[in-house]
Amino acid sequence: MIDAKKLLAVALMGVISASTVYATSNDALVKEGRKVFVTKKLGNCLACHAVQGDPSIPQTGDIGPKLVNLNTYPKEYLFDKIWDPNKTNKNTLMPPMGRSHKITKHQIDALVAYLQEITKAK
Amino acid sequence: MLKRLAKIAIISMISGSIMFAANFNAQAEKDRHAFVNYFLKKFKNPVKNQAKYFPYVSIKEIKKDYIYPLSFQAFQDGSLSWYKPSKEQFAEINAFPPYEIPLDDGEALYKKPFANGKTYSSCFPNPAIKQNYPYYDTKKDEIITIGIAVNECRVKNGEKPLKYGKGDIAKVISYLAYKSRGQKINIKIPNANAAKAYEAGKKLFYKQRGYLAISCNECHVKGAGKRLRAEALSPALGATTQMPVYRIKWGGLGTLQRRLAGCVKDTGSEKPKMQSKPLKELAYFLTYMSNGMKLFGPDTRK
Ligand code: HEC
Ligand code: HEC
Repeated sequence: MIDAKKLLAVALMGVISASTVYATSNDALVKEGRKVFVTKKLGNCLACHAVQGDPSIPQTGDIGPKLVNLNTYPKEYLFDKIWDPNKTNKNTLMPPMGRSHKITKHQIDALVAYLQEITKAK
Repeated sequence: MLKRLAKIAIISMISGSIMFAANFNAQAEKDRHAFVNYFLKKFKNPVKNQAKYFPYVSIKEIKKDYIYPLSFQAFQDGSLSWYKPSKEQFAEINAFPPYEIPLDDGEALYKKPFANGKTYSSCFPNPAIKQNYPYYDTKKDEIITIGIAVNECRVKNGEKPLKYGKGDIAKVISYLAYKSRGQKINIKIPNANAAKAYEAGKKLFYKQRGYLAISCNECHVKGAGKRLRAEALSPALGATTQMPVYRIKWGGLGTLQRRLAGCVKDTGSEKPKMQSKPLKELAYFLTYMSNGMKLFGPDTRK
């Protein structure tokens, strides 16, 4: 006999745990992304960019634009921009840190997660 | 009649040789004029030209923190030339310049006899010579930097050469620089090989290098007047006038060669050897770009 109530409960738990797993892994990704952003030996992005929504980042440069509302950009666009900005802008001053293997694909995913989360208009 | 003919021959010989000499630096002079003009324009009115030169710096910040317009000679001050907060900070530091003690050491070294009884003045009777370095030695067919000249003097007098970049060599060069203050940089391109060396240095300056794929040009021409993290980026024009510098970060003096090697490394490239051919070529090009600017070394930097 099928216990419909039990099934529902299991199903619900599945949904809940899946979403919490998702939430924590995104949090972890966001956290990792911030670290890549501010660490000199990793992305060192703050050398050139200030970030909307994260005023705690110290001493940002102004060679690049302040990063704002990046949650409105497609993820792929941001990934490509960080992988190799020369693709969309031949004269950019921004270094191709993915293409030159300074940071990994996973780290770029983390940067995108962080930037989309933190620059959301609140 | 014969006299007149001889006169014409002499005149045409002279003008011929002038034209000939001018040929070797024709391209370099063209480059230099464009280089100087870029900087003069860029720093003439940054508020008005914000969109063109400083797209990501706010007008408010420019008004608050930038010094302008800048004269040709003002570029001797590196990042302090345009960035008010640095200029103010260093005005205080230079009330008691940290290079003073090593500069005194440099003078003592200059005057101290070698084992053979002679001193550096046997090679540099007039120490006000820094404006001519680096120069292209047409006999040896290579660039002679001031560091190399100091070591050649030592070897000629039976002394061991000094290690490049810092320490005693930077002290001796500082003394020569100090005595050369106010002299105008006067780099020449005497022959075809010198022109080649200049072109090689130029190529290095514009070449994107290292895993950051970034060039000297991007940080010190396009980037000049912007900030990399908290560092105000210095214009490449005038970049050699103040050498050697006492850097707070180094806790001591360093030469142009040391600084160049450091900046190449910062782009994610392997650190080049000081006085290697490429670094000498880079120094030759960079110094040529500041021809006519008065020297003001040694100085203090962050
Ligand atoms: C040496 C300077 C420099 C560094 C370092 C740098 N950038 Fe950039 N960045 C720029 C410049 C200049 C632009 C604007 C021109 C362009 O879009 O290529 C830019 C543009 C961007 C944009 C597009 C913004 C928009 O609104 O279109 C993003 C996103 C970005 N950078 C992210 C990063 C990340 C993430 C890092 C670190 C992994 C980084 N940047 C490191 C200079 C830099
Ligand atoms: C990623 C950015 C970057 C690149 C690329 C770079 N530099 Fe620098 N450079 C700096 C910073 C930051 C400083 C310290 C602040 C200042 O004085 O500009 C500096 C300082 C200097 C100085 C000292 C200026 C002074 O007033 O004392 C010289 C000379 C110099 N760089 C030359 C070069 C040359 C030549 C290259 C190319 C091989 C180069 N730099 C590449 C960032 C860079």
